[in-house]
Amino acid sequence: MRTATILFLLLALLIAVTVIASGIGPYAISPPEVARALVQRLFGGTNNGTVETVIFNIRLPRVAAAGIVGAALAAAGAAYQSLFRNPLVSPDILGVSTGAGLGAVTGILLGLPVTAIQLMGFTGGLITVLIVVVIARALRGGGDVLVLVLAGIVIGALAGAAISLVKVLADPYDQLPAITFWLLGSLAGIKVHDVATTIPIVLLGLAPLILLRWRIGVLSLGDDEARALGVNVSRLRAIVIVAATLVTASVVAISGVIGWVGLMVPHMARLLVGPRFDRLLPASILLGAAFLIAVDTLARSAARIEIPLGVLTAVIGGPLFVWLLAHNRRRMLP
Amino acid sequence: MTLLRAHDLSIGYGRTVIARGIDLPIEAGGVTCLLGPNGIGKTTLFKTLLGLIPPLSGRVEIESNDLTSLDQQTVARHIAYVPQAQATEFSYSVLDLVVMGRTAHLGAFAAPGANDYAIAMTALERLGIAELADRDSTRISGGQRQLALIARALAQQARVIVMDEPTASLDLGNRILVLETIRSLSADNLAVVLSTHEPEHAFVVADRVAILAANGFLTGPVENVMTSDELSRLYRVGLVVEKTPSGRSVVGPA
Repeated sequence: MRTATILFLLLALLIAVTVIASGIGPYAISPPEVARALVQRLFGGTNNGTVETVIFNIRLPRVAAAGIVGAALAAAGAAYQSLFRNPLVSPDILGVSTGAGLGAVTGILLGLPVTAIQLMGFTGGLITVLIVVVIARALRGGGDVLVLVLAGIVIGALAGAAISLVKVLADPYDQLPAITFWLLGSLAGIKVHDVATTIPIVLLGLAPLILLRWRIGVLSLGDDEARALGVNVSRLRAIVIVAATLVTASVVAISGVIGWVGLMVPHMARLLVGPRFDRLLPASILLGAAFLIAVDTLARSAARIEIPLGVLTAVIGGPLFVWLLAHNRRRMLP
Repeated sequence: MTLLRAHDLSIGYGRTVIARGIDLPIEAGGVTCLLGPNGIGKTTLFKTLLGLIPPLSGRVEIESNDLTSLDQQTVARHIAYVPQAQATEFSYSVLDLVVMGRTAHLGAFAAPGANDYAIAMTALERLGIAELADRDSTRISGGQRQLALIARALAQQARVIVMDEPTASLDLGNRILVLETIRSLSADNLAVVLSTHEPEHAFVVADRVAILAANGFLTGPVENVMTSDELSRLYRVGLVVEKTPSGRSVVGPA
């Protein structure tokens, strides 16, 4: 099948998942009804019935948030897998998630308002990656891939230790549950405002990845080969790291730490469209959005209580990843 | 016509000098064979010629421009690199791998178009592996992958092609195939620089030999440099160059 056809089908899948997910919940709305309300709103019609209120004020903000978070994590994962020439790399390889976690958790400990906690999460992620890059440059003058990864592991471990310390200091009845819930990832408290502030930052980060898609793919051949083919490797690597960090930090700030999506979705996309980054990126974005909307819908509707999203992505992602490995070893591993 | 010239070049990393005083002209239509024992710095010399690492002193010139003053994309339009044929982590098709050679001719935000694919296909046909275009590049033989990487260098449309041990780990048939390909490239007025551990390959394809040894750098026409004495000194064993009745030069123990 041609790539364009596959991407079109993935887009159709994303729309279908969005419509179905917007109808699922305590007040069930059938997919045709959701579709009708969406189309009506799209063409300027305003109807303030219960159906519309539920869809546009309650369901859609959360569905949109899940879509953005999934798309961002999958895109960042695909970019990092190409950059680090390793299909087993995820967007938090340079410690962005743990750093964001530390920032947000500190915010909760200080009893800050939600917006400030998100801002601290975002800044924490950026600062962590900055420290990692500075250390790697100091050690190797350039930013060797291996040194980057090692520095990421070290700083990530330090941030992880700091998070543990904050947990010990936190009030076990009030703050600790909030911290734990945030570290497991959830979209339960998402507001329209969060979605609106996150979209521009995510787009800002995705734009360079989309524009430089071909060169990022060439980067997967290795530094020397990519440079001999005419790519300015150090500049491109810096751009990819900044872009991937920006999108990851901005979504982690509103969703908490959600694992597996950035690692697994690019693999599923690779099975559909092959390893070329210029095809992998759009496929990962569409598939990541559809995947996380579906999983988040499950998280809020499968049980009486809200299941933390990070727990569900791990429960679904882990076995799925093993299945992918077992059935496609040749296409996924060197 | 001199396409590439190393001028009083010192190579190495940081403060470690590997070799100094390297003067090497690379002529259009010429094949230069680089010989030297393991670990002497052949790859370092290649990386310096390709502008991947800076020279410690001296300079590399492309058509009398200093290599360090040119950006990577301009350099790539003049010099192509054929690395040793290892499988990549990602299973690109052969055609996708070859079309990556077009990167140096694309704008920063562009992806290859129909014209670039046509050039890549022509390169594959030129090397007789057009039927491999849609095959997974990680699932073809080492010789086929080596030819695909040479095709990529052709698609890059550079006048100078640098090959790092193109015959290493190939069987006899593929070795001969690669050597014949190199000779036909020089017939098209391209310049090829290759490293090898088999001195006899120099007799087969090269018109110039460069020797990188512990006691220094030496270059000249094949017949002047490839003597029994010089080769014995290079490899630190007694060697003798002999002509077979058919006129072929062979190297063996003295």
